[in-house]
Amino acid sequence: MTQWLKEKGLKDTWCNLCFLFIAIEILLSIFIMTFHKLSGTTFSVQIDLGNIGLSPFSEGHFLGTDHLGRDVLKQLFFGTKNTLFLSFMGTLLGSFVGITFGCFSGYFGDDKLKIKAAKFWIGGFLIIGLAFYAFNINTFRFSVLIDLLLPSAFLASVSLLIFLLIKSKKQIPIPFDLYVVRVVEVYSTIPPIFIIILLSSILRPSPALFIIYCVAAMWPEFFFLSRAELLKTKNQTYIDAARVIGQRNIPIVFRHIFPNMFQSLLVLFAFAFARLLVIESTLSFLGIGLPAQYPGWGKLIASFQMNTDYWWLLLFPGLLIFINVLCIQKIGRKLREN
Amino acid sequence: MEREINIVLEKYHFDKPLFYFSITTKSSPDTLYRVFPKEKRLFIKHLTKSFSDKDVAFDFLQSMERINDQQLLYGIYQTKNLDELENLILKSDLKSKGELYEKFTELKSSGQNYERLIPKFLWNGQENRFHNWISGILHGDLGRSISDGLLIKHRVFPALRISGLLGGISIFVLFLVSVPLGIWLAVKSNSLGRWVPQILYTIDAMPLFWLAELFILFFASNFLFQLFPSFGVGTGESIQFSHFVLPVLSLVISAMPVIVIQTMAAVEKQFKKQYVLALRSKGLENKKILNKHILRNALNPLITLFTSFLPATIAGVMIVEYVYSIPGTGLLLLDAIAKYDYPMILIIIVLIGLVKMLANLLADIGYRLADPRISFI
Repeated sequence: MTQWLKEKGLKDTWCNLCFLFIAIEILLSIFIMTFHKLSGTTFSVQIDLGNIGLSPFSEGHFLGTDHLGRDVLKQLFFGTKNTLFLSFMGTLLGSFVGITFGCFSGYFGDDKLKIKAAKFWIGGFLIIGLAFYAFNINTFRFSVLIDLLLPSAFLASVSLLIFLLIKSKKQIPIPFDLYVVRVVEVYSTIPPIFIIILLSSILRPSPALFIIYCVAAMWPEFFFLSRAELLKTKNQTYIDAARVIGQRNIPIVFRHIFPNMFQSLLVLFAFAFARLLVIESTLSFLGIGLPAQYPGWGKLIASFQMNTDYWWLLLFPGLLIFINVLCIQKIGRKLREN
Repeated sequence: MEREINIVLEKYHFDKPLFYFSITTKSSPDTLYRVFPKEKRLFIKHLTKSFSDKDVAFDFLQSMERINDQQLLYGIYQTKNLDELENLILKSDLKSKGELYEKFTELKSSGQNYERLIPKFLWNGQENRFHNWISGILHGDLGRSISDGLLIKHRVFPALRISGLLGGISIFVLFLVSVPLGIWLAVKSNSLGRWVPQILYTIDAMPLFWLAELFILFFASNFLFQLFPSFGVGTGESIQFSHFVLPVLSLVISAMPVIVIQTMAAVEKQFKKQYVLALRSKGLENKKILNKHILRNALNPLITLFTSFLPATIAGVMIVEYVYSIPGTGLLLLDAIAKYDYPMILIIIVLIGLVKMLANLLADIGYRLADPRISFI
């Protein structure tokens, strides 16, 4: 671990402090949540109408309580799970999706992905056919024969027919890059925060769904960066050498090209994570994010809006978001310097 | 009741198919989209898919018409399979229960419908919802909001005026302040270069909504000072600029670090180029080098910055509008989302896309003006 940090140039006092802060925060919240679970209370943060709006440093409530008497410190720790973890997972999965598409799009370009004519037609037919029959499975009066066996027999026999009929060895190029880039360009006209807002207006998010929305919002950035990086390294001679000795396409991408772009992807990851953290807390501040039973840092600030006398509801969660973003961005900048 | 529902459906074009064509199975009826509500439509779709004898299914639906209990009716519409349906009918206390059950047993004994395996392509023509929507937009008719039935254009354009004013002022102030600051910092980079970026990075890490709320706490509540109003845009029809001070301030401060740092980087990059050395060896003053040559060359990255920055400003304007209760498009969007008002949401998102497209166009023109070597042909 220390070796890895040294390689990436992260052996630095400030960086160490940033890592330490985030680690302590995560460990403390895990500890408190397990402790809370063991003690057997049903609600994550108890509503206590007898102790509304206690100011900080009062007895039993170190950082005070909000307008429903819920303890602020406890909400902050529980918010770690919902805010920090969710945005981390969103960025991670988003980077997977974006990098995969970016690598394919950059490596294959418009003319490199060639498949035989028979395969092309069978593939196209199977995608459309499977989509149609999967969409039309009748659950109301399900029958194995009609809903599963007959469609699959039909699809298989037509595919076989196509295979037997098309004998030509012609290779059909698929302009993968063109289509994907056009789609992503149109898609990224809308800023990420509006994509999440739009999606959650269709279906109100649960935590898992929220991660999917985050992925939908974050992947274009990773797509564009990994595609650009790949185009840079694609034409170098060592890639040609790898192809000459008989490496296949996918190992070339992931074993030879990917390590070269890992550093810049890591930088983007840090900044995207910080951005998503802010977006997540903004959304829960606006009341669009997770439903009310999941405490979050943004929600505490939202309850400050109801009564501006409770300044501690603004100050402590905001400071926590601020310090977290600062730490992550600091790590990102340090990575970029190398 | 039915007539009134039909009038409402007609008003919002809900009695039309969704798109120019639809792909269904051969089993489902052609005019299924006319059935309302949605639950009934799905139920009929399931029935026609499942049973080969159409008359029996039709009979069953006819006898269901006689059910007065709306709760039971919706329960039947939402059943997942035949057993659930049977249970529901048996448990109910209807007068016409016997007849309904008789029809149900008849239905159950009929065979499976093989027609659901055959795809069918339906051409709906121009009488569809998408065509209506898009041609309406092209004619300047943005449709009606679902939540209050008012015309969307009467609500969006006044809101857009306020948001545009807010965004415009903030971008103007932002570039007016940050670009000179960035240039100045780049020139003085030796003495200030160490700690000024650190401060800027620190400001950059503050979330905008927190900053805006902090301004309320410090300058608009009885916590510290009560200098500025924190609500709305003014009394009556007029817009008072004292209401814009805090929103613009929070937008400018939260966006400033990025612009300053990027400007600084762009100018510093030009400083290291060879032509600056040549100019200096020619004996030109530093001031003239900066004003005449470096700034011209550093203009392109600034234009890129402007376009990439515009979406962030739109999002920022929405957040600030929410915090300060300014009746702009952002607040309208949040309100529409709370009410599931899809026509309104769609129009606002389309507007956001249009603004971004316009910004890209402006940037392309700007590149050409800033650097005549660039050509798009």
